[in-house]
Amino acid sequence: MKFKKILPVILSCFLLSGCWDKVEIDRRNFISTIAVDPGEDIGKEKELKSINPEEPFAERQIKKINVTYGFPDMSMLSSGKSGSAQEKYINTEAYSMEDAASEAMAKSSRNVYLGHTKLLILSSNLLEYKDTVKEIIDYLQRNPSINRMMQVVVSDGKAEDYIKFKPTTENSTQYYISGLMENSKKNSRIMDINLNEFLILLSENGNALLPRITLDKEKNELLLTGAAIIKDYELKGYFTPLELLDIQLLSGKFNMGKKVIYMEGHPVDYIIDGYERKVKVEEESGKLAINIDIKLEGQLGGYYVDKKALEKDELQKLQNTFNKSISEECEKIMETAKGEFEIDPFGIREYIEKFKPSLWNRIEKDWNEKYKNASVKVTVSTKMRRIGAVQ
Amino acid sequence: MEVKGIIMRDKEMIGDFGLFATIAVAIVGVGIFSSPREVIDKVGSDAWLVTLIGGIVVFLLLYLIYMVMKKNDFEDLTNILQNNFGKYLGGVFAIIFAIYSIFIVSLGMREFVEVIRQYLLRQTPTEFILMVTILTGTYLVRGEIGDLVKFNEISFWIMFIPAFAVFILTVINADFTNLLPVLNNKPSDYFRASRYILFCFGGIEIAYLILPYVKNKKNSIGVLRKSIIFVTIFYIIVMILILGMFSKAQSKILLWPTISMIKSLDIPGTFIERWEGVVMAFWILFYFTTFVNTYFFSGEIVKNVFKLKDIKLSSLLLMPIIYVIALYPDNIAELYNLQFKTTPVLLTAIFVFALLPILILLVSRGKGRGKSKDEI
Repeated sequence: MKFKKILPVILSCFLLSGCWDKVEIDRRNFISTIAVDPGEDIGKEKELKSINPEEPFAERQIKKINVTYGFPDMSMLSSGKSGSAQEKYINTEAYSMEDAASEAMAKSSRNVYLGHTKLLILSSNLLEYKDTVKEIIDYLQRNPSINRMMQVVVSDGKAEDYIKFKPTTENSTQYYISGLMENSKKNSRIMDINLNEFLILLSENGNALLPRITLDKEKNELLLTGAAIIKDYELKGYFTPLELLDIQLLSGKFNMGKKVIYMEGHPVDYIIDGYERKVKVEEESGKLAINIDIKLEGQLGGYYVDKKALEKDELQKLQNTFNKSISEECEKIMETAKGEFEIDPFGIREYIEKFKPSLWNRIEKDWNEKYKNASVKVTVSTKMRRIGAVQ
Repeated sequence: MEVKGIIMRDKEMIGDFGLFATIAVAIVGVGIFSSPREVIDKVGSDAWLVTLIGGIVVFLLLYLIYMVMKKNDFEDLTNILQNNFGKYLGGVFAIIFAIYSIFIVSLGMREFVEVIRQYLLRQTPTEFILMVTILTGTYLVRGEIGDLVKFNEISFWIMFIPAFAVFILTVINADFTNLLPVLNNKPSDYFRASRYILFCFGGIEIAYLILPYVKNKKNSIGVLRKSIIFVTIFYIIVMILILGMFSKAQSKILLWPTISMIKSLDIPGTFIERWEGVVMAFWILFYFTTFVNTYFFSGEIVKNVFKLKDIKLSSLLLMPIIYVIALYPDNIAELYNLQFKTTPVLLTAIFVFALLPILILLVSRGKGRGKSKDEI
């Protein structure tokens, strides 16, 4: 009887002590930003290919990539103090992302923990090396603890500098850039994309647009400057913020923004707050015809003191001018995107795949060629609903 | 005969909800983690359609089970088999059934442990998680069937309320145009995909165990239909959300898209982050209920075939078998190979779920005729 009472106690000791995964929260280093730069040995991709897979001591000092982990300094955060912590960083040179993580572990007293990462900065220099990019993408997909909701940006030049950058309004770069991207909901000259969306785009066809950040060292400013064009895991070029706005208009991701025309030398601002896009793709005599209808709604933002906008004809005139200007702009952008860069950020391919499966089955094989030679027509219809507080 | 009837009536204590919950929790298992990948890989955006068809097929199989039970006065499976095929052949069939169930549920256990190790407990040894799960299961199985059903009834709520809460939150990030185009595959693709979805519905054999104990047998078939509809809708929601969240291309890559989906929950403006640990803890129940029910089912068969005193002994006999089978695959690739691509396993599944009930029906009909002739 006594034994029966004691047995559960003994058993619970045996079971409860098996705590292999115990981690104290103050032993963890919560990485908020990962910045990836090319290392000094990145040009040796060919040399690496000659390594025999069965060779012993494969773990060698190849500095293929340069990974910087930014994290808030938790030791500064204690009870009683308020505010956010200062950002610190660990710099590692490694042959792979996993190696970088273990290197970072060796360089810090705390456990590197990637589950709370908010921002991934890929250097524009890195994106020139397709094979390395593919390795990094695989790591990001494979590692189960990576936060798939982190934002992804391309930095102009060395990514490490961006982590070290001290913004004026925030304590850390990550907060600053996240804040900037948050604004994309109010200003479509800025785009934001998270890792999940980025990986989806890459797995579909290897093409994607990533927001690009630039550091102005003289003015000490960090700006979002348009988008980087990734094609087949490689950096192909950039779109300016204005071009990006048009692309967002064409791809259906537009939120809010403004457009301008010049009437008799005076800028006329049109603030867009309502938006609808319709795509139509048809095959006409072996050639694809892409029709995009864009409907915009908004208000007049600024004109000229002597001008009166409270007249039907005047508004119609303005609307017509905007229609023409925006549709021509969009058509041009589309021509460059498909002609010069041969990318499809507009979702034309997805549209055909989803809504015209029979057409897609027919053209899937020579899609690239068909897309490149497709004719494009963009019809814009702007509606100026309000004109502000004066006539 | 009369004495037996009285005993049977005493045992009839499972209500309609008990039956519904047992069937539902026994079916929804570890297959939900991985099979969306296989199905989406084969048929892309039509995955939900395949799930629907799978649901219908499984209901037919379940109906078959019900017919078998009804024809044989709701006796337990071993008795039915032994009455129809003779003591030895019936015993062999029963044991095959038990071994198949144990085999599948053990492989499921390994998959479950791998998922747990990948996402929750990185350092904890596989053997330890296996042992704890089996011991906990054994504790439950050593109870009566009433305890098991009560456990199922409670877990039903613990499982599905958080699951549906998560689904509602996932909808925010899903893009439902990913479900297009509809019906854009070769018929053979649907056939190949159905194998994986049918695996998800494994666990319906629990009906053999539970039906004899049901209070209101007239309603049973309606309740069975309801539970299959419930599970099918649950699976369809999962498929649709995964497609909406990851699109075709990414869902094919992800090993466990369902878990990646839970992990990718991003609710704007919430103060809680990375709560998949909590959700994963709930999901442990999804596997555990399947395991316990199948364990009990097999234990009961072993007990009856070998005329053991009670299920406590047979569950002890099965314990090491589960452990060994679960530890057998070297890696995750071999695990999936064993589950889906091994012909003997597939053939046994077809035998156990489709051929055996039909055989029983044929034999018992023949016997029935013979009996009536004798009586005349």
